[in-house]
Amino acid sequence: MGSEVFTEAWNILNPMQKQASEWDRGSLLVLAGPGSGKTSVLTCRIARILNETPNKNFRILGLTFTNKAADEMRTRVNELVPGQEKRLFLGTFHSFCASILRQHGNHIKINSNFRIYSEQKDLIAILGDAVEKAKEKSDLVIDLDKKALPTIQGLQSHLVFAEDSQGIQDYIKKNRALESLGKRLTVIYPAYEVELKKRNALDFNSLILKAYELLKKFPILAQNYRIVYPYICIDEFQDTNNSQYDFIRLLVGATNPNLFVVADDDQIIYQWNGASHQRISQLKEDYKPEVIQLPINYRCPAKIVRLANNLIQYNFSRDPEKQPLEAFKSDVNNEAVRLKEFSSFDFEVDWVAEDIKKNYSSEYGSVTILARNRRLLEKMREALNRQHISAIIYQRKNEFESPPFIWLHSLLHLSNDRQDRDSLEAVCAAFEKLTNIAIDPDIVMRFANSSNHDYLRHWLALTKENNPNSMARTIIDYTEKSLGEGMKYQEFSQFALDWFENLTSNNEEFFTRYDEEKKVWSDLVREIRNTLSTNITLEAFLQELQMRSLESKPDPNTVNLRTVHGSKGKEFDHVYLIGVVDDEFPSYYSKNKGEKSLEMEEERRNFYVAITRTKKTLTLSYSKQYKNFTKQPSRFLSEMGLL
Amino acid sequence: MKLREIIIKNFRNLVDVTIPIDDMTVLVGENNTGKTALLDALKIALPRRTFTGRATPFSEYDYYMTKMGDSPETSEGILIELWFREDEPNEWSEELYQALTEIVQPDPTSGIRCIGLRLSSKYDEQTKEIIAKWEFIRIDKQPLVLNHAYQLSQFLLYIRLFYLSALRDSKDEFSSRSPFWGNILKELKISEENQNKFREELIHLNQSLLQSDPRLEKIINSLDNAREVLELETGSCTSIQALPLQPFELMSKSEVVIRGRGNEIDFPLERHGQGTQNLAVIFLFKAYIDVLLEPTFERETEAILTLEEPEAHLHPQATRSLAATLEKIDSQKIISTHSPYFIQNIPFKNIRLFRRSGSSSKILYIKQKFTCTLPNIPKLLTFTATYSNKFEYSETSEILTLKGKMEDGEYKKLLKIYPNNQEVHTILKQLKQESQIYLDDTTLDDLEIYAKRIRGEVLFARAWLLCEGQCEYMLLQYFAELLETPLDRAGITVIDFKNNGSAGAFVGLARVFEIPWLLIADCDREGDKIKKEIEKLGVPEDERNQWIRLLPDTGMVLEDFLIQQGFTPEYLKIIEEQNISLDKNSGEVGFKEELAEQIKKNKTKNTIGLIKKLRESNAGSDRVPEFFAKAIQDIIEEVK
Repeated sequence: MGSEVFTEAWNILNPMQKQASEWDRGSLLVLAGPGSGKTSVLTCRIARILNETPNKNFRILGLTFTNKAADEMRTRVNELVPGQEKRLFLGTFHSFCASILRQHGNHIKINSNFRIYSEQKDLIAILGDAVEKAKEKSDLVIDLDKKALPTIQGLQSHLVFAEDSQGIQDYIKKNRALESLGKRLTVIYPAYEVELKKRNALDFNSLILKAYELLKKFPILAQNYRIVYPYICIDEFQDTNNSQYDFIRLLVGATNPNLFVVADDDQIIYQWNGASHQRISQLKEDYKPEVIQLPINYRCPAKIVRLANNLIQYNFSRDPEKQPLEAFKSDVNNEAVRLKEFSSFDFEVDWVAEDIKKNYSSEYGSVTILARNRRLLEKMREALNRQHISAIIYQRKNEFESPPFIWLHSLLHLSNDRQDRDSLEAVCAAFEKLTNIAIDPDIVMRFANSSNHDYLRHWLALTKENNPNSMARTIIDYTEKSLGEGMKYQEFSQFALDWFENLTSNNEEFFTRYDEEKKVWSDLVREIRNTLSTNITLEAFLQELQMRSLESKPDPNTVNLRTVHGSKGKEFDHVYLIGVVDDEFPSYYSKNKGEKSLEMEEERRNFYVAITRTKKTLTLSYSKQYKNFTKQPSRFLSEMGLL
Repeated sequence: MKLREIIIKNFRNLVDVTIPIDDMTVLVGENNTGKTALLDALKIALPRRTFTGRATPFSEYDYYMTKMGDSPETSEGILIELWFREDEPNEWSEELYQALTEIVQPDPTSGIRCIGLRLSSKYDEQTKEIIAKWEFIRIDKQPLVLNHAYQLSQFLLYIRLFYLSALRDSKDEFSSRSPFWGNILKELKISEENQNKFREELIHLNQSLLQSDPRLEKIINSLDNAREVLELETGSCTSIQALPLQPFELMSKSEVVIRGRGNEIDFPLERHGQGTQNLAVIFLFKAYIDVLLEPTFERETEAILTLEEPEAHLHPQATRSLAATLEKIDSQKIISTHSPYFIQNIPFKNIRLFRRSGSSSKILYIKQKFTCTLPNIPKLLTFTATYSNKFEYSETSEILTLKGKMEDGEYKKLLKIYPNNQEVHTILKQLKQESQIYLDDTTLDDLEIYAKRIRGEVLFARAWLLCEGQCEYMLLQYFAELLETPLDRAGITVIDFKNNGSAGAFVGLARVFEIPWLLIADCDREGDKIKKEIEKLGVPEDERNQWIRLLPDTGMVLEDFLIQQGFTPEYLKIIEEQNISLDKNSGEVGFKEELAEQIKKNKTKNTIGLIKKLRESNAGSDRVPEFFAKAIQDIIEEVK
């Protein structure tokens, strides 16, 4: 049955993996250790179901933690069962919630072309405006409230609605015991919502909050989703937070859902974002799923598997029936794990840089340096730069940085929402950098507001009056032609990309990140088309773009530096874990919380995740001094039996 | 998946119309009122395949233009909106819903699912061209942000529109290029074994062909229905005759032959009369739906048949019978007709009356529901919960739906829910007024039963002259003739309502279809009853005063009135001929009463006699009583 590729993939599954992939109806919890082939299980099961039902129309929903994971799984499923991509929704919680709101948001007064704000600084600005407005109405509100964004986001992720004053006050009491803040928040939180609404926008948290509200208010909609998606799979379940889990519960319904959950309670690293080991116990209680364990680790050298097992048994809040990892690889390489001690962090990073240069100069891309925090990575990068080794610190990127893409992106936004002030300002600023034509956005708005309120058309008109040279003229004319009502945005983007190529600008600095972002752009366009569909509308394209990270793909000649959180779900040939001392890893904060604290356990899991990224070699290093402070080697080293 | 509503703006003379669609919807109205425009709009909005690019599917004259110098560029743009809706929750199968989920909008409270498809076309100033786009929309009319072209192609797998225009030609429809006949021929499969047999047994070719595919027989049976309608003869006389040697070639040249009455020879279709040819085309469609729709498309695919003037060239009985047969076809039917016979058996509820109004058209029909938008406040929800059999409110779309006539009490309660809100009060007042034309089920049932005989005619009339009985009916026709203003010429139908229903039912119906009316009645207890009945319909007082005409004096009935108006000599002659003599002489007290008494004994016969006498005496317009002359003139004036 199925294609050759499918048969091949199916045959190499181990018995436990096969058992999980054969799971059909009812709830199943797959406890999958690191490197245990959970993605194969997920994709093989999805492929199997699709294969067995070629003439059916139902779809399979797969919710993942990152878009990247979803894209990878989709590509794999397409290889296994070609031509069934229409029967799949593989994406993040946010992506799925956005699609729900696009289609049914009208019932809670959300426009279908809403904008998504993902940048914290934009949200801070919006909150600033909201506080200013709220001050006019209420004496309670003070300027300090402009810093309340994290609290509001906390409320959102606990599914407390802006209009629920009592809920807000209860939440604050529970968390900070600050009554006056509670009262103020009953004013600020709704004001913040009003500001977002005015901008026709949703922030990241409210994507889930609003989708939850919709399904909660109208159970019929959830029922309808269950008809379309009789099979629901969740990847990396251990890191779902409160609101995501409550959303899942609404979606799948109360009775015996076909819920397929992949989780590892030893890899919870988003406790600070609301993840909890209790989520898995709650799931067990709510749905009484069968449990299948996948303890065989195919990724790491056997020694690392032993260290990981040693370490994680120190944690108490984990599934008591969890089986220890079993190594698939044998101990052929005695050099698989090294532990190095230095007198100071400066020596540590220099040694690491030299060691990398010595051993991996032909394949820097195979090396990843991990650290508990970004500060340590910055130091590390400097040391690499001193050795002339190309290095990049991975981080989520939400906005374009090169003027060409800032211009293209904000122009598309402006053509989608003709009265968007922020986009207009960005268009004006970026276009000036590209062509030296300076247009004052305030003038554009003044003209527009006295006629049809269309900022885009007025920007075009004013730009034309500014005697653009033939180069600028080309793009202005093309914009005019293609971004009218018909919205040929894909042709337009292609034209703009070609046009950028001819911009032989003398101000190099503006184009520093251009090449990189060009690649990111074309990759994202392709991925988004794969997720949704080829000729998607501009609104949907922009929404999806907003939810994706814009960082570029790793370069084979560059050493990658990542925080432990940034390494989630990844694997690397050679791993260096630096700064392995108490106060860094575990963090100072968790140490203060105490030996048996939840925070300390989370640090242990972080460490567990960090070392189990390794495919070939792991080098752990620590120093006696960091910034002139004496530090002890990390307790995790001795827990593992390395010290 | 049934089409349940069409909204059209600025398409030819359909400037702004909303038309509910039933399983069978019949469009009537004079020429040039937009019936064909509606069918064309549907055809354009549901193309056979999706358009690529943005080329407009409209011609320049499709854009509504009023003044000289108007052009498609200055037009507001065409909008065609189609709403497909479940009648009950979960009517659409899971398979269908799963396949089209991206475009389906379930109502969050009732669970009723719908799909909104919008085709809009207008001039784009920016790009300087006319563009057209198909979009699937949410209930709030915002476009669902999706890949519309792909969704349209998916959607069109499930909805098939078939169009038979008035200008259909049986030759084309039965050619191998025809979407029906051509597809039928293509789909028929003949086994290898049979093919060889055919080659060997040319003599038995015809017979063998018929047996080769059981569907053929089904098709022939279906086609044979045409004959049943036409000639009511039993036995199957329709067959398919083929000549060439190769079976596939034979099939492509197959044609329908029909044996005429009293003949023993099968004639090809084109040798038959227009009526037969026309019928054959319609039954070809039926055969297609019966046999081939499912295997050719998705299992869930539904057909919409739009048909122009199916009555063409058919005699009355055949027309009536055709209407009944069409009703049974398992698809949605939207049919335009000019035939009173055709609509005789069509319920009033299924009729859409097109009427020209200025440069645009309006479409009238029996409204079962009235809606308005009201702000969502708790008190309103309490109200609708209390009166849930008549009022419904959707919290998400903020639309109040009223299923009936709004009574004064309900109106006052609603006003109180929104104290001091002038805007809402105006909306409610409008809703109340609008709902006055509601016809309850009893009235409608009465009309369906009693008005059957005249239904065809009355809906094609420009105005109605309502009178009690046959005597008035005859007299009105005759007086109009004397006044040299024949009622037919003015498009006025006289309805003797007592024989066909009630005065109230007809006035109610007239108001629904906005047909001008004038009612004449005796000035007796019956007359008062009629007046009250019409008042109850919510007809405003000034309108009632203007259009209800009772005979001048209290207690007076038609015969009294005519005697008073100087028709005594004629009446005397009539009773003389009947050998009846009166006790009293002319001039004596009680003479007129006695005469009237006699005449009333045989009203109808005596009215016929009266008209005959007047004709014989070459009576002139001066003999028409002022009362009747005025009524006739007024209603004719109203029509103009």
